[in-house]
Amino acid sequence: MNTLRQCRPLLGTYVEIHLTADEDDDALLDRSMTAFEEIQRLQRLMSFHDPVSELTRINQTAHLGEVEISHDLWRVLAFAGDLFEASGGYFDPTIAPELIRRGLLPDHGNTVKGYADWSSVSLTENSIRFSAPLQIDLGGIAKGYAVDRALHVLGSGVDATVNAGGDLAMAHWPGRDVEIRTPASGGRETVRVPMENCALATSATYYLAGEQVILDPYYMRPFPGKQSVSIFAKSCMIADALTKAALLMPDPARALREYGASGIIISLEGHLKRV
Amino acid sequence: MQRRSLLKTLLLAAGGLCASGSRASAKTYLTVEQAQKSLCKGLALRPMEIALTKEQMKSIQATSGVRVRNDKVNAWKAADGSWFIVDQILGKHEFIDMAVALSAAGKVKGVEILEYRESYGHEIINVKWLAQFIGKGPGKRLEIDKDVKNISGATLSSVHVMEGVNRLTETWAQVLRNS
Repeated sequence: MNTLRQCRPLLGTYVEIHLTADEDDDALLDRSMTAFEEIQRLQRLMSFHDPVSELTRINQTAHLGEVEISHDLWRVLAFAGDLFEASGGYFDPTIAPELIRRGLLPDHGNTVKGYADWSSVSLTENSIRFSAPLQIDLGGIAKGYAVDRALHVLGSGVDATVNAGGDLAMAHWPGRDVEIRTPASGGRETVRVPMENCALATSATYYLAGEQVILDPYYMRPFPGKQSVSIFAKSCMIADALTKAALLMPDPARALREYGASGIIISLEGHLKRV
Repeated sequence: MQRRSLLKTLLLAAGGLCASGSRASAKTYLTVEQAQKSLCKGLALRPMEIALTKEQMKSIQATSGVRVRNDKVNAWKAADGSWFIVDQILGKHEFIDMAVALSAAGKVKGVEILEYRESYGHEIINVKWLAQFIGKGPGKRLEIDKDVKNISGATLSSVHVMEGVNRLTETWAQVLRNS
């Protein structure tokens, strides 16, 4: 058995790929390169920061008429819409204008005044249209999707883990342990817990740098809580998005059940609670 | 002699870090050779001895806005004019070895993290010290934490890597392109 651990700065964080297989270094390197290329491809499609990404083009034109979309973007947006409903609006990627107003996202010269929410989005498998000017930010979901895709292109016959700054997915997860950072230590210390599903993601405010916030779409204000939420799910996209919903929702248990997900809340005092 | 005993103290402190484990973590990724394959596939690389003058260091610092700590550039040049550079950066809580490939036009072809050491508060002093001994020769590498850990919740910003890359592209523009 041979192992390869590779790490590149992508998606605004460090993306780690860990491979174990009965293959030589070159073969493992070829596999991980394919996965990193896939992540880069998705970053080019879904980045809000990139002025020429597919997402930016949609944000600039979808209120004027129907815009064609790629299969990848459709998959992410379709799930985002589903979770908008399931979370009663607590997960809403249309908060971008508020994030721009706070200087947390770049303004590509198409500032939207007023607030429309996800209910103004019409989505089909090939196209998207906004019935009011709005802007979508996929910051709470696209990273998870990129992790899923990377794991997928790594292929079978290899034990693989992809970890994008804490959003992770494992090919062979049963019986494995994982470390979760604790909020009280500012992420310095970790607790070890067993993996419960293929993917795990964690959200909390302790790691946010500078002015960054987790915005509550209900009240349009930063989430003030100090706890962290970790979600196990069958895909990292689901886990990633559900962490935000679970952090903001008063009672997320039903929404988690709906997606076959489970979670752990770690309080500032360090207490673990199942959700 | 005094220096030697200080060194001993620091190495003991490093042993302390080993025991506490979850307080600081170090992760090792690709070797320099693997990173060369990953970023400059199929290219023959020639090691280059590049030393920056005081003036060049000041000038690179001024244009990139990033502090230049080292006057040595650990670089390799390929026949097609592209470059492969191994560099060290110091973030707020992390110490990172990285490899950057630049095209013949000075554009970033790719970045690989080779080693990542995370630390907090006073521990950074020890880690900085340790860094002086890392990579000094085969078998001499000190590892703070050998555990392969999958950590969730670590959305660390890669902003310091980006600053390091900016410093290297400026280094290319002012020095390497003429080397």
